[in-house]
Amino acid sequence: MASLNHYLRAYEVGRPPAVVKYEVAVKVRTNKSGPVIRNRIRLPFPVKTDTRIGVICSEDSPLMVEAQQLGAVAVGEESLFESIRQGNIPFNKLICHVDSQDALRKANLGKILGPKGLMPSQKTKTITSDLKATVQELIGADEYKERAGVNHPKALDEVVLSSTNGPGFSLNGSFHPTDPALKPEHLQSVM
Amino acid sequence: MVGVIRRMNKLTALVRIRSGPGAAVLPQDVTRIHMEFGHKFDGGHMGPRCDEFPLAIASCQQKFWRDALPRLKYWNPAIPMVVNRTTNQEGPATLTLYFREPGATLSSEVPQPSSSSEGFSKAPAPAEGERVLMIDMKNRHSTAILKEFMDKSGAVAVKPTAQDEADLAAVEELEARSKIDEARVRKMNEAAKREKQMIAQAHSEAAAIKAAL
Repeated sequence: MASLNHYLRAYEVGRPPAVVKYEVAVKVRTNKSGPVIRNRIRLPFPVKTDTRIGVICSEDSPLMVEAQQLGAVAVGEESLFESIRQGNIPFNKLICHVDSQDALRKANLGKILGPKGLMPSQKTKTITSDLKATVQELIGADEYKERAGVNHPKALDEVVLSSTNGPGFSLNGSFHPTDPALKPEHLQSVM
Repeated sequence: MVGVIRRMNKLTALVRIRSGPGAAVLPQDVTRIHMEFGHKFDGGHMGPRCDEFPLAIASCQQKFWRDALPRLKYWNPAIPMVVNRTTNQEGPATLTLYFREPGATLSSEVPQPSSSSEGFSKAPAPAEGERVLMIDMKNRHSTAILKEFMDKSGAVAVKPTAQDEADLAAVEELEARSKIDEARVRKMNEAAKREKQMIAQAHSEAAAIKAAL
């Protein structure tokens, strides 16, 4: 650390102190299979306006009417599953009412819907008991997925200090001047 | 650690700051150094920055400040070295050395301006018990300035150690090799670019012939 400071001060001599920037880069080793943050965020103005919503709910129920009134483009249970199997998917968001959860599971649509990211699940909050709230949230909100934001450091790999005009130095965490005559106060005055 | 060899090369290149022109230990009685010169090299301000090869003026700008001063700073870390760059190309280009008078003890409270690129850090008046020595840098090259600086300050040049000499040889060899590689890669890139251009031209000519038919 001391000899590093010694070098960096030499590289930065004569530079206005407000201009010189010191940077510390920290490299942490993390698990590759770390957790992923996945959620929806509702912005003041919708970022996407091409949302087409499909709703899975029992046929001929008040729920179906409600879903249609909310603007769903495809509503139903067995009829909807059949159209999905035939490749007719007019929606890009799919939600499922809790009562139809078992029917959805039996329909075995994971292979078709899964790769498209349409499979309703509790985790993505697309299996719901309140259709109105979910539809409204889907229309105005956008999904995000963040892998790098989750930090579970396994170990601190390296810390590198660099300055505007100098090279980067890897820190070893101790203050050992290689030059025995060098005192910390030598490195504290005006450059 | 990533890129161990590349990093090792960077560490080896630190020898450039340990040895070379300007690697010198100043005597105990030098208290501080102040430099003042213009941002550009016209009007005689090439001195602080330029070597004595007029043809290479543009490439060796900022010579004294860029090369010699970091080495001086490395060998004399506790001595403040302040650079005041001004926009006035007609102004002076000076190097001021401050010495402690024999027997005098300086107060530690002496205000010390920091370097400025806008001409705000004028050379301070000598404190009590201090004397100044000025070197005029105008219309002079960095080697001449360094020579006068070494003579007047009484600095003792640092002899490179055997390790330093070996490092320097390694760095120079690496630089020579990188020059060869640079030329080779440039040639390759130019050939690829030319070929791409020719293909594009042939395509457009073929399209023109087709259209004519």
